[in-house]
Formats: sequence, C-alpha cells, structure tokens
Amino acid sequence: MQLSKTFYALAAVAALASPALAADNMQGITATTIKIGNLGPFSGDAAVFNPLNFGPEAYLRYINDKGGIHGRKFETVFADSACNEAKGIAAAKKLIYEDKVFMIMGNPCSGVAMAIKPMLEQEGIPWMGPAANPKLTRPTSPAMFHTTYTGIESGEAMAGFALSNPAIKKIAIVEHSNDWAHGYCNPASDFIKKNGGEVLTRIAMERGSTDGTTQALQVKTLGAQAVLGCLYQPELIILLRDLQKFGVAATVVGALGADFDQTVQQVNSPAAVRDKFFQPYQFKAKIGTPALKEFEDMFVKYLKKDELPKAGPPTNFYYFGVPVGIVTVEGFRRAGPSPSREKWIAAIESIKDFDTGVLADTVTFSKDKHVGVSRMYAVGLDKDGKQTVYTAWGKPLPE
Amino acid sequence: MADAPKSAAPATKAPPAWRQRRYLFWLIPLLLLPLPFYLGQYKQYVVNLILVYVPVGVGFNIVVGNLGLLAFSNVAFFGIGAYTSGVLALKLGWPWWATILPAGLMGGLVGCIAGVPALRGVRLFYLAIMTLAFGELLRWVYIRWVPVTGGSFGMSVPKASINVFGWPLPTEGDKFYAFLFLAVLMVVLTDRLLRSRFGRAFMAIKGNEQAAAAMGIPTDRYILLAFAWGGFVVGVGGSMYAALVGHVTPIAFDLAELILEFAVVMVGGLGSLVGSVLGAAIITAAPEFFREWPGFQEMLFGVLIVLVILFLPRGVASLLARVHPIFIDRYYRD
Repeated sequence: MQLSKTFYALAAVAALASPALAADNMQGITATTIKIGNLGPFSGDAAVFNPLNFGPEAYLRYINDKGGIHGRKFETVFADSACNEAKGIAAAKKLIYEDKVFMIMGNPCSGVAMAIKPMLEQEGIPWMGPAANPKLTRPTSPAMFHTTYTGIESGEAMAGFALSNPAIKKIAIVEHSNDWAHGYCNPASDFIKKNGGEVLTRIAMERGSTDGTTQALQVKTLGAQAVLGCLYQPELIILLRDLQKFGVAATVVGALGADFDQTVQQVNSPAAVRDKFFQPYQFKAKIGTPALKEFEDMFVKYLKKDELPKAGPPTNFYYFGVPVGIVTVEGFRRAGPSPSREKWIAAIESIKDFDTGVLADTVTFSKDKHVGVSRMYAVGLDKDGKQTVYTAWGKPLPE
Repeated sequence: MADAPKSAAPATKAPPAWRQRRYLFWLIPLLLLPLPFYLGQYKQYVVNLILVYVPVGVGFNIVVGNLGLLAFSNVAFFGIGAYTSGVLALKLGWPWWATILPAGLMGGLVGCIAGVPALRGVRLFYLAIMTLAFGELLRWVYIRWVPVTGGSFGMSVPKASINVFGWPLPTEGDKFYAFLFLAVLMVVLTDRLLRSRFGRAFMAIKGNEQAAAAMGIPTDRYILLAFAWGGFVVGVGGSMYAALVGHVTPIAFDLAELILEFAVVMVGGLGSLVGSVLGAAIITAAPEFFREWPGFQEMLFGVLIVLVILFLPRGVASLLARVHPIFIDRYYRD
C-alpha cells in the first residue's frame, strides 16, 4: 500500500514536470472555424512592413465572406513580434500554446522567423510567410513554406536586371549591416561575379542614417555604373536623393524592403528616379491595371481603415503579402473536409504551377522544394515618368 | 547609594531592516519555485525573459547607478556574453552550462576594456558617447567576423547543447530553474559586493570622486572593478539570453536594446538592487500586458517610463521603500 502511494505521488510529480506535449495535429480546427496566427511587426520601426500581414488577412476575410472552406471560416489571431527575436518568440509561443492556432502565417522579419523555427519544427506548426531569409526553407523544413521570393531570388533578380543592360558591368552595393540586407546582397554579389560583372565595393549604410553623402561620393569616385541598394525605404530614399544631389548618373536597383510607389513619391524628384531607379517586381502586371484590380477592390472592401494606407490606394506590400493567404487557403481546399497538419502539408506539397493571380511566377512545391516561386520582373519609371514593368532592361512587359 | 536604574533592554530586538531583507532574498525565489507547474509555455517564457534581464539590470546599475558614471557599454557586455555562449556551443560543442562562466569572464574582460576611457578621466557625455561607440564596434565585429559569429544572419545555438551537467532543458519550465539559480546568484553576489568595502568605495566615488581619492580610495582600481563586475554579471545574462532565444544575431544588441536596458535601470531605480529586479520584471512584462493593443503598446510603454521618471525619480523601488524599510538599499550596517 505504501509503495502504491509512493508510486502515485511520483507519477503525479512526473506528470507535472514532464515537457509539454507537442501541439496536436488538429489544433486550431473546429467544426466551423480554422484558427490562424498572423505574426508580424505591428509596433516599432519595422511596422512599415505590416501590410505584408494585412494582405493575406484581406484574402481570408474575402474567403470567409464567400462562405469559407469546407464549411469552416478563418479566425485570425494577430500577434506583434516588433521584429525583435525575444518578443517574436513570446508572440509565437502565445499563438501556439495559448491561442492554439493551427498555423502561423505572415512574419516578414527574418530574424524572428529564424528564432521561432526550432519551436515550429518541434511542435510541427506550419508556417507560410514572406520573410526573405532563404535558410528558413533551405534545406527544406517539414512544415515551412515560402510562397514569396526569398533573398536569393530577389538578390539575383536585382543583379540580373542591372546586368541585362549591356552597358553595365561595374556595380557598387550599398547595404544595411543586417541579415535582411545581406540576404539580398550576398546572392546578388555572387550573381554579378558569376555573370561577368564586377562588384566595385560594398558600402554600409546603417539603419537610421539621415545622410548618404559618403555613399554617394564613393559611388561617384569609383565610377560605378549601377548601385544595388539593399536598404529599407527611409535610407533608400536618402541614398537616391544624395546620388542625385552629387550628380551620380548610376542606375539604382533597390531591394524589396522598400515600397516602390512610396519611395518614388518621397524622393520627390523626378530626375532622381526616372529611368534610373528600379526594383525587382513580384507581380504579373502593373499595380492599378485591370489584371490586379480585383485585389485592390478586395483590400479596400475587407480591410479596416487603420489597416489600409493613410492616403492613396493599397501599396506593393499588400499585394506581396496576399499570395501567402491565397496558397494557405488552397492548402485547406485541397486538404479536404477533415484537415489535419499532415494533410495540409501534403496538400501544399502537391501544388504545381498554381496561378495566384497576382505573382509573376506560378507556384510549385514538392516534398524537397518549399520555395514556391522564382521568376521576377523589374519595375521603374520610364523616361516619360510612366511606371513600367520590365522583363529585362529596355523590354517592357506587354500590358 | 542605590544604583541608578539601568534602561531595560528589550527582551527581543527586531533584526535591522538590512538583515530582514536578506531573508527576503531567499524567500522570493523559493516562492517562485512552483511556477512551472502553473504557467504555460508562453507565460513561462516571459518569466524566463524577466530572469535574463535581472542580471542585465543589476550589472548596468553597478556602473550607472552605484558608481554614477554615464557609461552605455552594457549592451556590449550582453552581446559578448551571448556570442561567447553561442560560439562555444556551436563551434566547439560545449554544453551551455559550461559556457556560462566563460561568457561572464568575457563580459568582465570587455568591461575592463570599456572602463579604460573612464580611467583616463573621460566623464559625462564624452564617456557616454565613447561607450556607445564601443558597443557599436562590437556589433560591427559580430557582423563582419562571419566565420565565427555567422555574420548578420547570426547563429543558432544547438538545442542539444542547452543542458546542465547533461540534464537537458527542453522546456521553458526546465530552463526556469537554471535561470532562477543564476539570477539569484548574480543578485546575491552583487549584494555582497555592494555591502563590502568595495561597494562603499563605489558610493564614495559616486558622491565625490576627488574627495574619495583624497581619502585614500584608489578610485581607478574601483572604477575598473565596477566595470569588470558589471560586465561579468551582464555577460552571464547574455549567456542566459543565448539559451533562451536560441538564436544570436547582431541586431539583438543594437541601440534599441540599450534603451530597453536603460529603461530597466531607470524604471526600477538607479543604484538600487531591488530596483534592478523590479525594473527587469516591469519592462519585460509590461509589453506583454499590452500585446492585445499593439498600436497603443509603444505609447503606453513610453508614458509609463515618463511617469515613473517624473513622479518616481528614484524608480519603482523608492515606492516600495515607502511601504517597508526592507526595500531600502543600504550599504552600511546599523
């Protein structure tokens, strides 16, 4: 009897002290709802990226309005990572263990995504997001998917577009000293070297910089024919202004950390951007054209006032975020009326040449390939100031 | 002639406040021991994060609060501690527990280096700028020394390495006990230091450096000791951070992090050990309370700091000191 009591006491202690069990594969699914965690920077400097969270959210609301998927409607729980690893882990833990979501989508911050990756893998929580760090899905992680371009695709697209101009061989790189910027500019630098170009220099321009004189003068002194700017929007604007100020004629190709329209508006100098500033372009057509109009209408209809831009139509980041929602929903559609994590993952891995209706490339996944897209275009203002999408230097995409 | 009546000594004399507080040091962690049985992974993670910021606040307070020098190299100590643990675990395969002491020692070494300008008589804003630059210099090293630090992508601390003498710490609850032990150890050791002649020398230097030197206190030696001990304690905090977050990147040790750590000291109470602990708890937990309102989170957080500085210039610890004398930091015996 005494032994029995001791046994039960030990068993109780062991049960209390044992590690939490991994989330079950139906967590977040009820008869009528699918609970999704939407993780992103809703506060701090990086909040400029949160349209990447609102884009997919608009699509989920649109699907809900149409009756949901297999009778279930999506229920989103937002969580703020502030683009800080420690806070991001707290936010992800809240989503997984307290809110008990089925999966996490969104999360444009690579550092946070890398920090939560071990937890997602341990718990088997699916992730689909726009964070650019290629290490998230290379090598393949069982439940993590990129349905947008990683730094490798974007960096190569930046370099590829610059080199598609036969007159450009000498290229300077201006970049932030962070993982995001290096995620773009390291593959870009490798691409330039492999394809007959020359990287003249890599100049740091830190976040929060309010002056780009040093960088502009170095670019001028070295005689760079093009500049790749792996910079966030505020610093890219400063660089473009200062290159113009010091009469540097080099072509500038920015990374995807800046919204093209806003950058052009805020530079506020046509001479600094016309036929001079370009960015990789993720979409199948120009924003504002009939091909993408349905998405603009969707954003305006389904997003709240504080989720939309303070002025003007929804910007590039809304469109860039929306494929995350589209492919996530497609996974549920294919997983059938009784979804589980395994079924959803298998459904996503079965997607081949899927047209999101918004991206320049179709989406293809497989068991060994969790990066769904690769082809990109470029966007810029032509000599007349008209926004144009190019397939290569001087080759506009037919409208 | 009858003897004059002697004043009757009380039969039982209450121990002085400073002695009562020593019991409290042990009571608080003991009360916290069952927490992992009640908290889920998320709340336990937040508690663990608070424990990481306890040594960070304690170490920062030694230089800024107890020594009274405007030195902002704390984030450098924090980063070097985290990177030391990360590099030893990832590159050399050391278990995390074995990296704690080297992380602290590296923090102490970096503390000595950061203290050199102070020995040269650099003070006030000049010292602030120099120590800030020192922190940024180290961040530059983390970014550029790619083969060792992993560059701007940082490094992932192997999960298998996070153990104590081979006992794995897979859950937040497991980590909690190791972190609680380290946080308490750092607080107790710092308390001992501050109550010793070293701590009193810090106070003398803070009060009037010239007068302290005139009294024969070797101020240079004590300033260096404060930087070294502060660096050691914060370095241990960095090691805890590496084990908790599991991913060490240069951006985690930027200016925003320094502001957060400074807020821990300011809100808790400048020069107060109790304040460092309270500050770590408030600054780490407050954003989690406001998590549901991310738009307001930063504003409320800012307002909280402004209110504390305006109405409680000696921090939240001073509020508690009004409630009971055991919360008063006293570095002398009654």
